[in-house]
Amino acid sequence: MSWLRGALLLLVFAPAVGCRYDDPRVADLPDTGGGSPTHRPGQPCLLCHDFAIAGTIYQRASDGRGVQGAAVAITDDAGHEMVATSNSAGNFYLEVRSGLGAPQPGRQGNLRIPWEPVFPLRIKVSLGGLEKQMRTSVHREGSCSICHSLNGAGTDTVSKIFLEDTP
Amino acid sequence: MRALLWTAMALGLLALAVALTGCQSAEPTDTLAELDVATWQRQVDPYVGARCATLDCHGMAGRPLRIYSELGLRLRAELRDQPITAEEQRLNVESVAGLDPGVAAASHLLLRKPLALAAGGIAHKGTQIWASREDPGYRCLYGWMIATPDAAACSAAYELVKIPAATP
Repeated sequence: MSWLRGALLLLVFAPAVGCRYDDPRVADLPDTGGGSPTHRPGQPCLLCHDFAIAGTIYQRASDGRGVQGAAVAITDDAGHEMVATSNSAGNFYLEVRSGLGAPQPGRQGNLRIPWEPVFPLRIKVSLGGLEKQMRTSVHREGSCSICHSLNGAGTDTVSKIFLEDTP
Repeated sequence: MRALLWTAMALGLLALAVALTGCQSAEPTDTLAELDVATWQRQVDPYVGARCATLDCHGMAGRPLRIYSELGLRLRAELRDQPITAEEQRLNVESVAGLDPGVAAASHLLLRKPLALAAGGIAHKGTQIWASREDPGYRCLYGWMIATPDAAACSAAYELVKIPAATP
């Protein structure tokens, strides 16, 4: 059945095929992970993928690798609640799929949702007793990494999404 | 007789002109006051910072309405994780002042963009934020713009959008 899983993953990530990654925000960043749901952690997923919301969770802001199993709880302005779980690279991604009655967890960080999320969104991340509430709402950007930059905080960016404060 | 008729017609036209002028004066004419930085800092900035100034909206350099805020766009990178500065707040007021110069408060883009279309608003990529002019957010900004600050409205508006610093 591994071929079937591979085919399904290819189907999900097919929109990325042909993506030239020429956006200056990703052009110089490495393509690790080989086109699977674990590739390009920490990079702005929606530049290539037709996801509703997607991002990468880290245990600490200083970590180079994302954390698996973090629950990303998203509440939209219509009161829809959606919870995705990060994969081995820390990635999670939400896709709109018509015909579903309720959000349906997929594999490897995927959550299929029956509606377009209504902005603004409120987001909370938790894992093993650690919990972080995002202190602002998300008003239109579905790629977390547009603001939560791998390059760290700047005038128009903040740190990666992390669970644990470090001294 | 003809002269009397002409005089009557002229008087009629004059009366019509006066009536029309009267109609026009029924439109909103609240003049935009000189925008007060101190009131903005004290009352308006917390609400606008939380509601409008996220990094994916008006917290972007280059936006016609560009707003600095503690958790959004910062004037300098070293200000990240620091409280909003008076300089950033003053620059926020400058951005508002440059947005729609010379326009009366009630017609100003700052108030009409977030207002629902049904209530007289105009298209806004950031959605229709205020259902009516009674929304505390509208009253907060309107009061500031006409130099009649409404601290209670600003406070109520901020309470609706603020997110606590830490979860219990």
